[in-house]
Amino acid sequence: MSSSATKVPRRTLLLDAASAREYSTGLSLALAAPLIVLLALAFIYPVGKLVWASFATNAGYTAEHYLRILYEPLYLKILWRTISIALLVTVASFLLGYPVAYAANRAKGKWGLLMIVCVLIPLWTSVLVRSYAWILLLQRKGIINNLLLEGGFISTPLRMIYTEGAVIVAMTHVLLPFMILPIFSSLKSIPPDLARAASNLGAGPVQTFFRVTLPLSLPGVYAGSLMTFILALGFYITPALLGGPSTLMMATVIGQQTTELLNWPFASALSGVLLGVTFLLVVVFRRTLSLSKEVQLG
Amino acid sequence: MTAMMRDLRSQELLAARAAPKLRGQTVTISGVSKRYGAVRAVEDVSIEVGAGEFLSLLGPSGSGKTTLLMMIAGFESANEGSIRVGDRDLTYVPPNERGIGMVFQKYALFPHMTVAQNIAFPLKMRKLAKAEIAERVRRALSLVRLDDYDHRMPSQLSGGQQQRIAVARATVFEPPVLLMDEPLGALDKKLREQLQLEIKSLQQRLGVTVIYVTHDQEEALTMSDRVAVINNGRLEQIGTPVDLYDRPESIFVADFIGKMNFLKGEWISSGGENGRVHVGDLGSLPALAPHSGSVVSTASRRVRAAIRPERLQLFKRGHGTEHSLKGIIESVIFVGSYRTFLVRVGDDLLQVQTSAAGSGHLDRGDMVEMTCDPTAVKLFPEPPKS
Amino acid sequence: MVDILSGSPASARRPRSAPVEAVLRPLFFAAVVGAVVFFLILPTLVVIPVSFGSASYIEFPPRGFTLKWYADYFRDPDWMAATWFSLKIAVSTTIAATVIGTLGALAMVRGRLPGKEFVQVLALSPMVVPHIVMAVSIYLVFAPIGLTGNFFGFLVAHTMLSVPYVVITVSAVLQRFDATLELAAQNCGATRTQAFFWVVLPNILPGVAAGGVFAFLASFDEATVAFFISDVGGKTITRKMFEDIDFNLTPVIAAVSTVIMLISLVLMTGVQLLQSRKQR
Repeated sequence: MSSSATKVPRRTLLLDAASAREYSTGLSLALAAPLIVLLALAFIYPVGKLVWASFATNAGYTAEHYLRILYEPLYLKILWRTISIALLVTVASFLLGYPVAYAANRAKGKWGLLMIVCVLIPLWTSVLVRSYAWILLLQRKGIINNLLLEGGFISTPLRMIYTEGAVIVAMTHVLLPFMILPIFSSLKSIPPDLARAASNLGAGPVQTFFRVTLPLSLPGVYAGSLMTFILALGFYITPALLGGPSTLMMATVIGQQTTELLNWPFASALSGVLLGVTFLLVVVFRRTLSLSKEVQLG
Repeated sequence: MTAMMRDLRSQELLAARAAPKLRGQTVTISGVSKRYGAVRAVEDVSIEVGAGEFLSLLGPSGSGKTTLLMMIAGFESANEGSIRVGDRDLTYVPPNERGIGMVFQKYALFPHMTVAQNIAFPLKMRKLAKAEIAERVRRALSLVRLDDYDHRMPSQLSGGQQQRIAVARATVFEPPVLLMDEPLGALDKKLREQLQLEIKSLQQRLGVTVIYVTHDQEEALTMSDRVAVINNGRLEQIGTPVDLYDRPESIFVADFIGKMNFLKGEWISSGGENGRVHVGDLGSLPALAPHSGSVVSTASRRVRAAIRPERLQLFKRGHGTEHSLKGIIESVIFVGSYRTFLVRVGDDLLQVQTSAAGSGHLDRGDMVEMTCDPTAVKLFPEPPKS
Repeated sequence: MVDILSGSPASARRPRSAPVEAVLRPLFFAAVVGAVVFFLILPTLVVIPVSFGSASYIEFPPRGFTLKWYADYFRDPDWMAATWFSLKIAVSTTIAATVIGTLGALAMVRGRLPGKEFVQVLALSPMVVPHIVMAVSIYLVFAPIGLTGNFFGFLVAHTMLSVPYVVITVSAVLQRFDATLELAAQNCGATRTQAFFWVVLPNILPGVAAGGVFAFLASFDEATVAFFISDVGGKTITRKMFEDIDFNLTPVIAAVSTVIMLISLVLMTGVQLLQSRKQR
């Protein structure tokens, strides 16, 4: 016979949770509220206002700022340069970073730890400090030039700073840890028995790498590449300090438009474009990742 | 008596004088159901547990026994039904106000607290005085015979020791009911058997009502006053271990408890209550008529016959009666005090258990005949093809 | 017979690679890895010797040894104001982000939240949006209402930027946390709040602490947004560094950089130690 018992009236609020393993809906909302409010006020509102402002002029709403980006060749050129530099940096980071992640994973004991520490220290150092370091290195009277001059390798100082090359090198340096760590993490999760099994079945070290290790580390590669690319797209500090007038990138242009030219609607439009490209990338990434997961499992 | 049991016995006597006498309370589960979406985890279960009784909830994985326990503890809420302890209705009471002790499967000792702090925790929550807490913790530790372990951390303890601390923590605040969720599952056989004895003796000393979840039927039979067999969320049968072993009321219970042989056949009466179950042309076994309460109708006499391995008598071909069940020995397993014979009878493989003495002449490949006492055969209606 | 003497049959069947190549390949690989590691760590460390050099221009290797640049740093009122401002903001951000992020992580991992997926995405979005876009957006909101160079403005902006790190680390540690412990605590008589403070929090502290440190560094090292919303009334250390690199390049900046690096290093090492100790 069911429910002939009398209901105990108090504390029924707590019991709207079907299970004590989870917090009730009311409590969860209360806990999440500060986070949601903070992000609504400090994130959604400003970004929303930015997008809205990108369509505004004195006369009303218009897409003229976006059209300007499309039609004035300068801005498309800058966008293209930004994307290609970001791409270059990502590829360079991958080519330089994968071996390090691989070696750190394979290294025994202290060596592996040492390598990861060498990756983490730049990561924990402020971007400003690292950009400053590159200025020290690449200046006309900088460290590299001094060493080369004193060593007799060159007779006049090399022009390195304020070039696109400087920006690429410095950005690669800054973003390498973001590529290395996800790949390292991915490699670490591959059971060592797989490589042994491949070897037992007749595969040489190169074949094992290309057929077993590399494919299994792809999630890490994707994650690292995505993060690196997105960061490179929106980079402000390093290109601003190390780049010259011939190496204007989206971020620096946005900065100029905001603080020097005070053309806020246009700056917003440029930001909108950057935001759009980033968003697109994230969506494509998630699609590719889930597709590749299906292929792996299916 | 083994040395260990002697040791336990004397400690029991000593402890019986020291431990406080708890009076366990009754637990009444009425029509409890729990559904997760379309899945029925527990379906209309009603059980009355007596004060101071040791009741096991026995069933295979996923049978709903743990869900039922969780509802008694208050961690899950029932969709229907009520749960009472003594005269308190606990159905809507939050888990921290129920005052029921619980021992979890993986012990759930707080890793950042010492053993003493773990045991003291429920007392701290009840805001007892420091001196009182210290005294009770001391007593609880000596009850589980881990007196000097108060400053250790849980990670420093073995599995068996952790289990005992978990029991100490669950009983230190003198609850009327103690719930245990497969507490011995993670331990090896020898340790399990030792702890089974300890838990049982502790329960008898404290007089607390225990509801014990397990999937190990041997464990349930050894420790319990009564066993409730749960399958697919439903209560299949509840009774003493002897009840369940000798008088299973369904094929599931017959199969789940102990070892059981099953034969498909036809029951034909030979006058009144007596009759035989015929298995094709392989012979027959004597069996009493299925009770009128059972569902075996006279129209369809197809039955599933169940016989315990130790109730079958085995003879070399030619030495039994002419109606005995015929088969061939496929293998012989010598277990020391008895032998188990695996006998092929048509499509089925039967287990026959006989004492080692007197069965040594039977070998693999021998043609044999089997018979038994008619009261040893249980008849169940042939279940519909699923 | 020759086969038996020359070793296992398998090796006789496999084509032998030239011994030279077998040595060169790993050596080459090691050289590449070494070069990249060197590339990673060198520029970071180069600021340290420069900060001790006695020449007032950049010189490497530095000739004299002096602490003059550090003295200049600590004596300069502008630098000290900027440092103090950044520290104030970073500490407050750490507290705010840690509390807000931890509560949010609790709700997302252990709660029944309607639209949980949306909240999860939202919580991590500040990390995905390029900092320049963030900087401009916030500037556009702050400038008209005079919130630039303002402590509270910075606090809100930086907390928003730091909170994702806290959410990530605390969520990770919460998911590893055995929920049964919380049930056991409740069974012992603890309310949800009591269970949280006595049982959950002590066990997730490494994750919370790590999140806190990340939040601190995210705020203290943050350069882009700080650049845009600093003004004469309130300037962060990063903004001042940026300005001085552009207009006043002296080794004082190297000294400041070394100090900042040291702070980061100490904090992060502390987190690693805490985490590795908890795992043991």
